[in-house]
Amino acid sequence: MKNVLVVDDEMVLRMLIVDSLEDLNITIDEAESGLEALSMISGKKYDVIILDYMMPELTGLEMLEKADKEMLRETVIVMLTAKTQEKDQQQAKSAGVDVFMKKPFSPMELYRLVEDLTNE
Amino acid sequence: MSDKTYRPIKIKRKFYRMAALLLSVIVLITTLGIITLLNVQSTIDERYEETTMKFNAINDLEDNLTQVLFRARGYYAFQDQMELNLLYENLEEFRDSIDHFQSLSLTDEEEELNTILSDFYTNYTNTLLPSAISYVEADDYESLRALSSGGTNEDINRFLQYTRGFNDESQLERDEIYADTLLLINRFTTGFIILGLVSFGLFVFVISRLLKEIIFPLEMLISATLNLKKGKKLELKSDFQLQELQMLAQSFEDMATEVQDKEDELTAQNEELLSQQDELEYNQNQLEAYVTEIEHINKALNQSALLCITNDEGIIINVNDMFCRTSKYKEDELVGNTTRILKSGHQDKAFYETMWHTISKGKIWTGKIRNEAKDGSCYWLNATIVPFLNEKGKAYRYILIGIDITENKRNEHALKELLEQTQKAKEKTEKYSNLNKELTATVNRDEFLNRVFGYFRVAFDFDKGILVSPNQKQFAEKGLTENHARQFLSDAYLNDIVIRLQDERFYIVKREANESEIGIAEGKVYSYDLYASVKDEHGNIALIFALTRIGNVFADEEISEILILMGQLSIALSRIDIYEDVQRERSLNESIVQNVTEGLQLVSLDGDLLQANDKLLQMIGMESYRDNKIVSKDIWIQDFAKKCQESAEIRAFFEQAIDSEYSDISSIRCQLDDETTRHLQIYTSPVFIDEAKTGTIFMYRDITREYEIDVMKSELVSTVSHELRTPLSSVLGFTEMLLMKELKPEKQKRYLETIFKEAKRLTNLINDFLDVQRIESGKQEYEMKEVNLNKTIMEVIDTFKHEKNNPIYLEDSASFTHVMADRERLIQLLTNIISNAVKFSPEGGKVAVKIYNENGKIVVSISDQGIGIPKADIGTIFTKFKRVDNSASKKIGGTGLGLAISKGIIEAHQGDIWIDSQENHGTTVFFSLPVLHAPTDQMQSAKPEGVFPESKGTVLLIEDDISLAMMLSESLKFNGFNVIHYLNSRNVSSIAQERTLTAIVVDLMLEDGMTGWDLIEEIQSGETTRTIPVIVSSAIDKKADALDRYQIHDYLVKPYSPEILSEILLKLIED
Repeated sequence: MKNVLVVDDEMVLRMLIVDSLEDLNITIDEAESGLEALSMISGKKYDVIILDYMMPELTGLEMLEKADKEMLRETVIVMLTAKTQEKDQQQAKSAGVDVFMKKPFSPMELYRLVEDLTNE
Repeated sequence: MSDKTYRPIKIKRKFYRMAALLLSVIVLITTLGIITLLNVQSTIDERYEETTMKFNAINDLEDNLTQVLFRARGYYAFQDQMELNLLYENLEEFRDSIDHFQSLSLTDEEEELNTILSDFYTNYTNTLLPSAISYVEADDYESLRALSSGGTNEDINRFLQYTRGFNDESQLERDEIYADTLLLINRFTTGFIILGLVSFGLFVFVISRLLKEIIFPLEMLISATLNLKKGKKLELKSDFQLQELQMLAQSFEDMATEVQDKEDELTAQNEELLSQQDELEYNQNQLEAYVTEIEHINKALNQSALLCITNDEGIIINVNDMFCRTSKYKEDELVGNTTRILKSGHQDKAFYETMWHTISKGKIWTGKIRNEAKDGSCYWLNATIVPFLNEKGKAYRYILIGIDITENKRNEHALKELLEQTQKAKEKTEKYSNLNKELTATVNRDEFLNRVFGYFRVAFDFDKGILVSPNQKQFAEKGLTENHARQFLSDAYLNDIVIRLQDERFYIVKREANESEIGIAEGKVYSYDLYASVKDEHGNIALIFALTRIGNVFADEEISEILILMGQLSIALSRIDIYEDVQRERSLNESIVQNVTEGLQLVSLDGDLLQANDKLLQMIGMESYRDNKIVSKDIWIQDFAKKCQESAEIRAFFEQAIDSEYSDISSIRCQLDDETTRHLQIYTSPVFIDEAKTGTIFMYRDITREYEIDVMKSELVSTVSHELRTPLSSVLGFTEMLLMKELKPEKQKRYLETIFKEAKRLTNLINDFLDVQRIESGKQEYEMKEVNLNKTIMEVIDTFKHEKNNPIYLEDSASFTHVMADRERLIQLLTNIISNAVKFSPEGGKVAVKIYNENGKIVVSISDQGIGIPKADIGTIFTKFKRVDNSASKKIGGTGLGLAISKGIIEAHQGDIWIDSQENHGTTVFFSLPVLHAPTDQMQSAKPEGVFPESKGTVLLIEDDISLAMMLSESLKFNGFNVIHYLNSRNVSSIAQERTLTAIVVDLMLEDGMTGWDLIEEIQSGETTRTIPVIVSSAIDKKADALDRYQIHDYLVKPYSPEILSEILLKLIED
């Protein structure tokens, strides 16, 4: 089974993401802050991380920069962000983000994306 | 001459005297020397003799004594009678020796010795010897030995000793005498050598005198005689020292001169005769030539000169044609007349006296004479008067030769006039140049007036005067009182003058002098007032010049001079105008440059800093440049770039702007890290003068504020967009889920609830955002009405009744609760603060709202037991989108606009809002509003916490009917109780544990799940709350039931008068 980590400070959005992915045959972990996510990443290899950009204390990108690169080597990072400018995307890509999803996002689209990413 | 006959005697005497003196000196010295020598020698001889005699005497004594003793021993030894006889003989000799010694001059010691010897002799002869003889004869050698060893021997020995000493001494003495003798001989020799030298010197002196005074003059006389013989001129130095020779020389000279003279005379007479003969011949020829020449000269003179011959009395004898022509007299009119007819009395008397004096002495006179012609006209002669002398040397004729120089004189006069004119012109020019100096010396109008007027005072003669600038109301004056001068400035006074001067360049008023002007003058005096003006280039009068002269007319020349000066003043004035304009413009520019909010900098073509306004220096913190004239390019760019974050770009920008004519980049932004961080925008523009670049201007704008606003705006946009996207994501996401998926009914409901909540959040967010905009832009309208604050608070609290985790209560201790407010905004404010308090409270944390009066205001405090705010953030908590960034606050969410809105509302109500917070313990938000119907002093005692000092106690009122709660509360407060309101029964027990309560009033039919019974149950089962009296307030009469089950103090059935409750409680505390 594939491991997916959802990182978002908004409880409602985490619920939406988790619910939208419930039909997939994956295990989903939740983290409500960058710090929590960091500790989770260091202990477990995730296939996909769905990451909110705008979070207090650590933004999504800052979290990625601090994270153990070795653990993230095979991980696909999906970033949910309102920042859609080319400059921001460039910066995010160099930090290791693979896929961007613009907020507000479609749960079905996310479902299909994660389904693709976790399909062996 | 007679003196000289005695001279031979004198010369003889002189030489005799000299020789005698010399001889006597030598004889004297020699005699003295010999006497001294003899004297000394005799002394030495005496000494020597004496010493020798003494020496001999002593030696004799010694010899005799020795002989005596020798003979005595001989006798003792051999008893030879002959020896004894010899002894007696020797004794006799010894006696003689003593006597001889005695006769010499003796020293004391010698005297004593002599006495001893005498005694010895006496003793020896009388006593010793006879006894010794008797012993010898008796052969008693023992006695003899004893005798010889007696005391006598000592004296003998002493004598012998002395003798030896004396021998030595006398030897020394003799040596000394010998030395003295030698010394004497030496001295004598030296004396004679000196004498010889002196004699030689004297001899030389005498010889030289002889040579000098006699031989040399004689030689000279001989050579002079020889010279005379040779016919040379007699040359004698007559300074002979000897009068005889002097006399001889003189007579010789006289004789020689006489001989020479005679000779010369004869020769001369001879030569003269010869030459006279030659001369006569020559004269004859010469005379012939002269006659011809004189004829020529006469002709020439007649043509060119005036000739007049007079006799010694001045009567004209002859004149030539020329003279007649010039003097316009005919020859016969002149001849026979005296020279007086020529009327030459032009010069002074001394002139003619000198002339007469000269010519009457027979000397020639020349000079310039002015005569008058017959027709009265004048003519000038350059005249030479030659007197003819008779054999007595007296003048008998005078010839006047004159040349007409009238024309020259005329020219000379003209030249003189011309020179005078030139001098005048020069003076005038100097005057003008002085004026010009005054005119250009200043550009200050006032000073200009004073200088110009000062010039006028010197250049022109006037009694009173004033120079007025009518437009500037300035003046300079002379001889006027201050008042009079001021009066002159008034329009009324000036107008007439101005009108006249518009048409005329000047005018003069002649009037009778007034009393002060007349002064001490007698009779009628007129004053002349001259008015002249200076016009500017537009023809307007710029200056008026008014002069008064008392009794003295203005000459045309002066007037024209004044007018010329006026013209010059006009030019100078327009120069001042231009200067003032330029100055004004300059200071305007300067003040624009200094006062603009932008920094301005002008650099030269090379980039050196020429000028910078204060603003710039202040902006870039380079106040030190102010004192420097020019700051070189490298320095200022370096200084500036150092402070810049983007120093490389800034450098490049400056370099390019300075170097190129047209820079590609016309502006740049930079960040300055000084004391505070500032952002500047720098614009550049080249400066062109006549199409050539002369420098570069840089303009610096402080865009820190704009930059900050910019940053804030973009942060705001990003925050807002994030804040909006999150609920939007939920709304859209869950809606999509509902639409696309088959869901269980519970899930559907949960989704719908979430959608509703998020949509509401979205709405709130948008509303808050709009509110902030409205409040900040001042567009919010407030509808002020009287509002009862505690009731409003109750109503707001009521809206939170679904917040089951966090009980909210109101503790009301305010006597005055009415305020002027917009009720809707007040509710918004309270909702904001209370919802914040609820949001940040942990589960079960109480939210306490308290109201109390303080200083004429009502203070509302809302406390939570939440996470608190770090101290550092309290200051900024009221700014937009400010939420304290910690995980807990993020969990709660919110727009961060609530407090900003609250602050805006409170400020619109003339209130204050502030925060007190302790991290992890809770936050209290306070706000105060002015209260209505309340004098300030009645509320002084109000305190925020606990019970009033005079308070009768605190009553906990649990009632969900707000109207009833308010009624009861009013009554209770009126009777001195504090009231704590609860709208429902949850968590009441915990507050009952914390506070000392007089009573709990509880409604049985509460809206939510928990009933009043449950509450009573809970309170009465609690350890600390069991004893609190409970009063039931209910619409249902279940009094009996209640009293059965619980310890109820009282049971009130609604409706009841609020007073009843108060009475029950008052009675309760009395017990």
